[in-house]
Amino acid sequence: MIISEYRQLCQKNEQENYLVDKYIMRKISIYFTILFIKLRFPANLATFLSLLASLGSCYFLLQNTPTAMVLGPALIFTYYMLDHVDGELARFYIKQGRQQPSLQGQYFDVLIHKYSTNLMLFSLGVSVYKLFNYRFAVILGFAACICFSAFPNLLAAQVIVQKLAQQKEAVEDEAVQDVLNLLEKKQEQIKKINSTNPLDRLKKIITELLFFPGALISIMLVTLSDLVISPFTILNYSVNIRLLFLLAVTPIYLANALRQALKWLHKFQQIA
Amino acid sequence: MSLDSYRQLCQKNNEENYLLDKLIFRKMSIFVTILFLKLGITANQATFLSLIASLASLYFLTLNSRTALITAASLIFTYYILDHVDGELARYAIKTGQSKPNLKGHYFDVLIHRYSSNLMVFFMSLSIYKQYGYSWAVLLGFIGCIGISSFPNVVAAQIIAGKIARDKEAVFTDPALVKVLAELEKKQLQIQAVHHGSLFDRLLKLLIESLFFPGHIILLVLTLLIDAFWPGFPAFNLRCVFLVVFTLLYTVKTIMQSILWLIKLKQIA
Repeated sequence: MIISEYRQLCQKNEQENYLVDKYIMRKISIYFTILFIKLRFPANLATFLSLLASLGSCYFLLQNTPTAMVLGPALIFTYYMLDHVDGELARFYIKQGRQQPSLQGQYFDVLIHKYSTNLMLFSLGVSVYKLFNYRFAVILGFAACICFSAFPNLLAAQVIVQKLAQQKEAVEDEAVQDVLNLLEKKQEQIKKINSTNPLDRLKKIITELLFFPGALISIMLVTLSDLVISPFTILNYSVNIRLLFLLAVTPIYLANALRQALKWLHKFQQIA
Repeated sequence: MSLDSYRQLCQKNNEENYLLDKLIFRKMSIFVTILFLKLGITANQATFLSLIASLASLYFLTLNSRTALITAASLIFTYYILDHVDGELARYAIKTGQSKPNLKGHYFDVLIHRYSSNLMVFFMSLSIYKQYGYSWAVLLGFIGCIGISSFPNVVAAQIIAGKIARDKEAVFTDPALVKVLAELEKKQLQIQAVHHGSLFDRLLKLLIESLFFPGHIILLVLTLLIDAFWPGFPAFNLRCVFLVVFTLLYTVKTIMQSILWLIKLKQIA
């Protein structure tokens, strides 16, 4: 089988919902996917390996040694690559009839997401504390972690699913459908990627860069930058790139969490 | 209006799903609810006050002075009482026709829960670090915080919501989804155990409540109060014990929840 056939079978193609994936990650991930297929690795094993890479990266992100500062980003890259590979494997095995489609893989994948970027942000905060002894850095990393976890969205899903568990007929309710459609963002993301309106695409790029997967890429880049750029002084405070990164993104994540919470409060007012 | 009438209007009564609430907290919360009613404070304002109490407790949790520990314990207790009061106010307003039922209040309430006990455990771990210099305590506090956050359950809800958004008919036609939805609605089972369960059922329920929610909040308050008056051992205090035990418990719970969801969701296409 040639690469383009693997791509057709394994990748999202027209259903791609991230620009970064479309233009960068999918170009590389397919080679790993083919390797995993040859090794007969199931998709869930790739997801599990991505969890190990993610947790492993957190350990190294806590440290300030040059080795750790290379291993941390390397493991983040591995995690992020495997995050693509598992989906590609699942699609391949399903299309080949070797696996039945189920929500299990998707659940495992999303669950691992919840133990990745947010934990890495916290690890960054701790590493800054270790280097400069700034206690606020731990709090900053923790705040970034909590705000990045998207609790308002997850809880909106929990509340609406509980509502449907109590009253299945509510699924016909327009306000409930509106909430469900907002929670299932994928189609909206695909629309934006394929939009001919440059503003839509620009908005999508900014969102990706600020949040997911931009945060992940930023964590890799700032850690690597600190390898080559020595700490410097701003207003008599010693700082490094990781600290500046945390100072910049934490208010953004906090504002986003607040915006999400307010949006859902407004939406839920319409549902009895 | 008599106290009993207020209880009838405001409280869950036969719908109570926590034994600790039934036996302890509802006995107290009604007085605060009546006070709030007299002051014209709404349910959402009470929820907001509970958020303030919860966030304020975080600051005091990082300190080790007796005053700070007592203040933290008081604020957590206030948060927890207000967590009952907001529901009671909402029920009163709905039953007296002053407001219409909607999911907003419920969402707000659940959201505040998500920014309370998990954050408290992390901030408490900072006080242990300050007192003993144990950096593992901060890591443990962080793991405890993530464990209490119940990611496996909320992520499962997100996956199920996504599935329903893509295929609305599935809530009626997909037997596996119908089963999962029925299992998600634990409240009726909890009510059954609280009101009609055997002695064993009730004891088991009490044990689970004591170990998890709302027990961990009550135990945290007690731990703080004991540490306020007892200097602890040279190498650790009661908060250290609390942190180690609860982090372990919640980590095991998180792993079990994840495995259970993985099994359940395998049945849904």
